[in-house]
Amino acid sequence: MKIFSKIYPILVFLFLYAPILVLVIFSFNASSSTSMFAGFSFQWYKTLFEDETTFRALYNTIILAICSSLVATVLGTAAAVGIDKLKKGPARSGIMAVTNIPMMNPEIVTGISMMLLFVFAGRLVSKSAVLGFGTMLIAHVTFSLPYVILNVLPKLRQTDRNLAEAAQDLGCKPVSAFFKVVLPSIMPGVITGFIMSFTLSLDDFIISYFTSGPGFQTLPIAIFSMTKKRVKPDMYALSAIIFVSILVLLIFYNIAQQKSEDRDRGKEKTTKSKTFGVIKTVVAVSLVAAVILVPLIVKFVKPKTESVGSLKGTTLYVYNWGEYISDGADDTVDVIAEFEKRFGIEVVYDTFDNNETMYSKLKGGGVSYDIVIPSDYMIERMISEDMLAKIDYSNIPNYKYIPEQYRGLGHDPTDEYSVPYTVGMVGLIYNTAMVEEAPTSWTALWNTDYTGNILMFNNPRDAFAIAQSILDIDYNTENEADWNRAAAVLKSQKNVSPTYVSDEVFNMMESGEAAFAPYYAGDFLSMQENNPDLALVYPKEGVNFFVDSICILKDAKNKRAAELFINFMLEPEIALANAEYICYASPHTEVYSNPEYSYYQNEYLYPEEGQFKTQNFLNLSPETLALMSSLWDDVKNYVPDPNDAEIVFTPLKDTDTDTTAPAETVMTAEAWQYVIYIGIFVAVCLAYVIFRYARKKYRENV
Amino acid sequence: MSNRSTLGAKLIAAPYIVWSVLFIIAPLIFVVYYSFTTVDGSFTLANMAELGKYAPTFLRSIWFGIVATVICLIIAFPLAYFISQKTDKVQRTMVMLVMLPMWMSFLIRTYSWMALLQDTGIINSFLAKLGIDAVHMINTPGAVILGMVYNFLPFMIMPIYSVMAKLDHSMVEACQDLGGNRLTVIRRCIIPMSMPGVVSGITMVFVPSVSTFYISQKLGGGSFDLIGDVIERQFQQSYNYNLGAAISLVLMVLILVSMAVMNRFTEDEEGMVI
Repeated sequence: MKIFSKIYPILVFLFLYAPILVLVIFSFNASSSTSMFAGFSFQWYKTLFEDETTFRALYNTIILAICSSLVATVLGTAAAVGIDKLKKGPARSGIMAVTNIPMMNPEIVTGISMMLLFVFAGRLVSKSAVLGFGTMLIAHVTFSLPYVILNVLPKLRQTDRNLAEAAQDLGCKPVSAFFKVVLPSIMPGVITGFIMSFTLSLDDFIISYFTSGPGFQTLPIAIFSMTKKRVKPDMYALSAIIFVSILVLLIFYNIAQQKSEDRDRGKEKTTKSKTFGVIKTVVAVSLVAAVILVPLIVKFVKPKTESVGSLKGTTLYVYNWGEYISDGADDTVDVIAEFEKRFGIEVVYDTFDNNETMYSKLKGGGVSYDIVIPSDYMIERMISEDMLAKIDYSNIPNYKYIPEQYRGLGHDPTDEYSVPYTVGMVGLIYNTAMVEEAPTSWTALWNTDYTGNILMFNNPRDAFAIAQSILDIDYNTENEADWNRAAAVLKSQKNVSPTYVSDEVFNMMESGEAAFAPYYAGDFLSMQENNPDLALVYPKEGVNFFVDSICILKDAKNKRAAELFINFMLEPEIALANAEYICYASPHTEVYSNPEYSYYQNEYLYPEEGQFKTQNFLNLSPETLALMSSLWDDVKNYVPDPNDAEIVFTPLKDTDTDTTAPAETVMTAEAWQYVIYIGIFVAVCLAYVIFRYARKKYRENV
Repeated sequence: MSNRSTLGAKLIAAPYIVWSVLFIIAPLIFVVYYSFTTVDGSFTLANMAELGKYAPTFLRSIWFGIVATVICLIIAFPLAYFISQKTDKVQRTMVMLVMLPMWMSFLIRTYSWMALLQDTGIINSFLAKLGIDAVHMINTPGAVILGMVYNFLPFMIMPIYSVMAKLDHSMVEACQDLGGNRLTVIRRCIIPMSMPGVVSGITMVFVPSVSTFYISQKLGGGSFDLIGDVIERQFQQSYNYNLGAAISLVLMVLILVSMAVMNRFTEDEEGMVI
């Protein structure tokens, strides 16, 4: 028992610290991999300190945490004092029940409920951009309040009520009696409440995720969008720094407390020394904040820009894909900084990770941007929903660099709303170390020889496109039976247990984790740089061809600056810098015909025409979209029947009756299994409760 | 005078009451409203009818949540007990060690589990060096549950520990004096007395486990949809707020009811602690 009590905590701590250890070690990795150690280097720390976005996010996080915990502490302490005065009864228990809601409710429910409220309120005051610092502050205060109240209430209960009355009898006004007598005695509870609120706010992700808006990104949200793309070890470096500073702080705090306790030994602990300890904590916390804040403030003192003009000093809101603009890393051009410098316009830059997220955010009405860079089918949808503004092409002289073949495409046939930014195709990436023969067909993704080693798109449109290619169905079909057939094919893929990925694909393909993955050819090139074993083919059934274009939103507040920005993006050297950074094919004549361009005539980005069929996405009707997302939920929830592991592709369009939605049993074998498990669990719990009850009764009788 | 000041004191809770009506009650009303309406705002039961489709996902989430909670309890209880037996100084250090990981973004910690568990990850390369065959860990239900246990374990340790640290030692001694051996003391004295901590630990682990979406996406590879994933998808991808609200409503009711039931059974044991 003795030995066990020594070893056991060590084991648990090993478990708690294993991932942290990994992260500290890999923050010194010489390569960008987060699973293979290539050598010791400080490069990620260097990158981290050059990255302004991360620091801005950190700064935002701390500001928000300070503000929300202060508000919550004041409001919560006042509430606790009031509640304490209430007699036991329906009013008091009602208030306490409501107080408990944010603690008991799943965070995701709290998050979405607040988002629904904010969006509604935004529509009510017809202000489109409600989501931002204010809404996040409200949300953070709301979920912190219960912790303050529940920490202060017990302290109030312990306080002698007569004290305050005595103070009043001695001539104190009620208010000063509160501040002089009551507050000092409840101070420990108030401080604990404050610290808990601060900590909760600092690390909150889920609620922030649903209530954040443009220009105000906190660190957890920044990290989330990064873990969707590829976590570079600079995030590890940041975490390591945070970890070490908190560790050091806690050690110092511990030593200080130890000392003060040694001093107090033998003496009776007075309220004063307690308050003193509490004040020390506060000082310590604010010290950390200051340590982090000072370099930040220094960082944000920006050099003054030189140019003049009516747009100078205005702000432009840009909403783009993650890692979709040259950012100045490794001596490239920092496009945003360059634009700000040249025109004196401040750019607020946010990123999204897929078209649907972007659309949901914009449509939700909580946010407002000037520039957005969606893909083709999404542009068509946004045009049809009157979300985009017509561009004044006379303000964009550089539009001349866009050749005829990329103008007037299906999604914007009259060429009024969009300026092509990148183009590309989806290809089949495979790992030559695991796959002997080069695949030629999408059906490789259904090959049971590679079960567990296959990656698949984690978004419905791209995933369905692959199934539709196999079945030779039009990507933009409005026929329900066609979608059902494609869904059946996607379900049958569950037999090879695919991993559904978005940007995790980078890490997984680079580390040799998977054999096959469908992905964008441009991204394949950057994967290949890190893992030369990778290769890409364009399957014979056809592939998706896409265009991402720059658009201006209808409710843009700074349309003139937006056009300036588009023109700037089309300048040959800027377009080249972006093309080099993004690795996608460029629709810009001065880029793709430039022999100095790294991907000049690259076989993957600019393949010869006519080797395979390409199709692009068009907008689908709302009914079809609803059908698609519902079928996609089915696919994701589908559990294959091991007795029926046969995969059937029906390459011909058959109009048989059985192609309509099959009558599906909702309750799969897996689901019944869970029913049984949960049932047994509940039964055991019940039996135990009944047993205790019976025993109690029995003992009472005896 | 005394009366007036009490009234005044009661009134200082007013801002909070206004706040909670606006930002706790009103949002929930919106969830209910969206659950029973279509996109254009007319009343419908279609969202609720569609929920049947998600029954397997609900069941899976609940089961994973139960398993994660039970594992957390099994790990945390002995640890909390051992910590509470140490000297004050050691106790403080150990509590600090339990809390420390919570200060780091859970997103990053979960991500680094991916690096550990992958087929070509750190554990497997270590095993390969020892000549042991690679074990497939990532993208299994086990990995998802591991992620839950890892992330929420401190929420189980802390409440149990704080109850145990405050245990009345004269009770324990009385139990020993009455002839109880160590095991009896734990079973008859320590376990019953630490029940409030256990109950609040269970709540603090079960609720986030059932509703998580990040862990299942990263460690489950997107092939084990949990109910949180479905909700997130409705709001962030499919733009189907109404269905998302309906699923959230059911999730909320399920959790609040099960918590209420649990608290009912343990009511005689002093209620909850934080």
